Amino acid sequence: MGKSISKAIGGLFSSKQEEARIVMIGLDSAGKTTVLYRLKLGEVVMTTPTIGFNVESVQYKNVNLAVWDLGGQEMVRPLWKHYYKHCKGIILVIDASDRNEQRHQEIRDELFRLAGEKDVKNAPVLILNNKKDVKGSMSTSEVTEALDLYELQNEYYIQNTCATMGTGLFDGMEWLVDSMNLK
Amino acid sequence: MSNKKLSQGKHMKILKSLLQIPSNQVCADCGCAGPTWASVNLGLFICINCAGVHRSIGTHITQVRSTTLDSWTIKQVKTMSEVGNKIGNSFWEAKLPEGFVKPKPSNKFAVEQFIRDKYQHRLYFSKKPKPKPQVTSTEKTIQKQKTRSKHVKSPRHSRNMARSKTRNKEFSRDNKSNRNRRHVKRIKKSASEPKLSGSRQQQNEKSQFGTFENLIDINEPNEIKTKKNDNQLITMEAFYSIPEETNKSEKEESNLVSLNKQKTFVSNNQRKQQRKQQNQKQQTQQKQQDHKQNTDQLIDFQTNMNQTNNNHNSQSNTTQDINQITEDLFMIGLDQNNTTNKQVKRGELNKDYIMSMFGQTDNNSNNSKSNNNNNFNNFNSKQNTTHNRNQRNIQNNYFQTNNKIPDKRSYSENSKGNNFNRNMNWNTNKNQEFYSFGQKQVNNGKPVSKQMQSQYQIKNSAFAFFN
Repeated sequence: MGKSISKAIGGLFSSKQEEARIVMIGLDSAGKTTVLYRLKLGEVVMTTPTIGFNVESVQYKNVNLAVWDLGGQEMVRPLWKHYYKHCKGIILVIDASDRNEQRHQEIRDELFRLAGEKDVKNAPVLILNNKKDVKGSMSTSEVTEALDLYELQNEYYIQNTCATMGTGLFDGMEWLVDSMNLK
Repeated sequence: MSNKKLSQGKHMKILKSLLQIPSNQVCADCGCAGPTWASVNLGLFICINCAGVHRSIGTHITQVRSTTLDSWTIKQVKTMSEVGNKIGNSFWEAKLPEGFVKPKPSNKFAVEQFIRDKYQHRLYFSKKPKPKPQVTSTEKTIQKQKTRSKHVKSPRHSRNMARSKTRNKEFSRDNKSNRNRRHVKRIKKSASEPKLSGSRQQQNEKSQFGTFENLIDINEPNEIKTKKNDNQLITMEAFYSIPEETNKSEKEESNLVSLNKQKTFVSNNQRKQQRKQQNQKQQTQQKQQDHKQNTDQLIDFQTNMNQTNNNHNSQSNTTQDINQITEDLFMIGLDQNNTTNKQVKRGELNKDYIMSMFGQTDNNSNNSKSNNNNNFNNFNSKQNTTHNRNQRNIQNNYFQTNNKIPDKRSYSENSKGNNFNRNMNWNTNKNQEFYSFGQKQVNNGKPVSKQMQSQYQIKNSAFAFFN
């Protein structure tokens, strides 16, 4: 009798708390780690190049997000696909101040390789156009053209952010949480 | 062409050899041992903690790459081989006040502050390097070549020089480049920096349409002046670009950086005194030398040149070899770019050729050019066998399917109205390299097994929407 009551109460509470796994990718020195710790701690952390990954659980609107921040070096990129299983959403961080076409090509290749994966086919892609505070940085329309986003089949949204100031991050997260398919 | 990426193994060999130079075995900023990261556009080897600070400054000032985890372009490797920690720091730390102790690597905040001062605010930067025996000796010879006439006192030479001066005057009225040279000379005497920045601007404007300078990006070192006679000695002043912010005079800068006002002023005075002393010393030395070298100046020049060359060689034998290798790579890149689908296969053959070349250059570093012909013969004889092997490997690779992508893209670009100027050839090369690299990583160079083939086919289907 007591068990059934506790179950019912627990069920009520657990329905409020939802969990989702999110993978954050991007080229090296795009600002993934600073974004992660900005979300987690609300501070700017002195970072070193990530070799491997960082994981933090971030609470946002009754959703418990496990955000995986993966290293962006070229040798580490082939390992990204191993993190895509049971992944509900993807955050792609772009350095807006970097106008090198070669780098755009690299991230475009990675993005479309990601879109081909089975596990991530329906996952929404949040594109953070980071370092927007730098002069001469790219606008959202330039990003869509540089990455050929009109060919992307996944749902996507581009958000201008500045991780060091913290602007635009939570707007992007709001979209991501709303558009995720949470059971 | 120079943007073409080197695959993993090739740059590793060069960078390893560069990291064995004693000055590169220490981090350029904090001084801890064994740096594995590098600031690509500044040409400095740094440790991982300093790399973090460099990245936080921004890509418009420094671009950080790992020597082990990233792929490099030819251009980047070339700058690393030409600059290095010793030469780079002679510019970036030229104005360091005497008795300045660099912060220890354990004190992270101090290190961050120091790096920001060094690169972002440019407190210790000067266009003239700190006087060091190797650098100054090369510079002296360059200065001598320019200002030969001034220090000659023998009657025969003075007559000749007087004639040439009159000629020069006539010539310079027509020729603008000579005016610039004169201008630079004046500035060297007066050492007033705002004037220099102005003249530098003019030179920059001219060099924007130059040939070799344009290979290097805006943020990367702008002007590289090479002299064929000196075996590509670089005038190091030119190696660092001067962004618009620093074109302001130093007073304005010091206003901007109000905290460090006193430092800069003190250091300015010190520097002026040092410069005066140096100039006096140099002049006296040169006068003494010129007395000795009354008649046989030309011969002495040759010997000097040889000496400087030897100095340059003693710094690192590897750098010159790398230059040669990279030149050869450029040539190969040219061959590839002119080719079409048939010779894309040939690109893989060229890789074998390059690898063989690298293997040989390690043993016989001095005779790399002479070996090229032999290598080329070997390459021709290998062609038949490697050709078949590559055909097999390529069959079930992404690469064949992806051949169509650039065509499609270029078509869509045309329809858009050429917003992007992407090279088709470059695309094919890039894809080819990337996927061949992936294949190697999976299979260790062995032919593809059936399981792997099926995996590739699945992934090919992922790329179907491209076509």
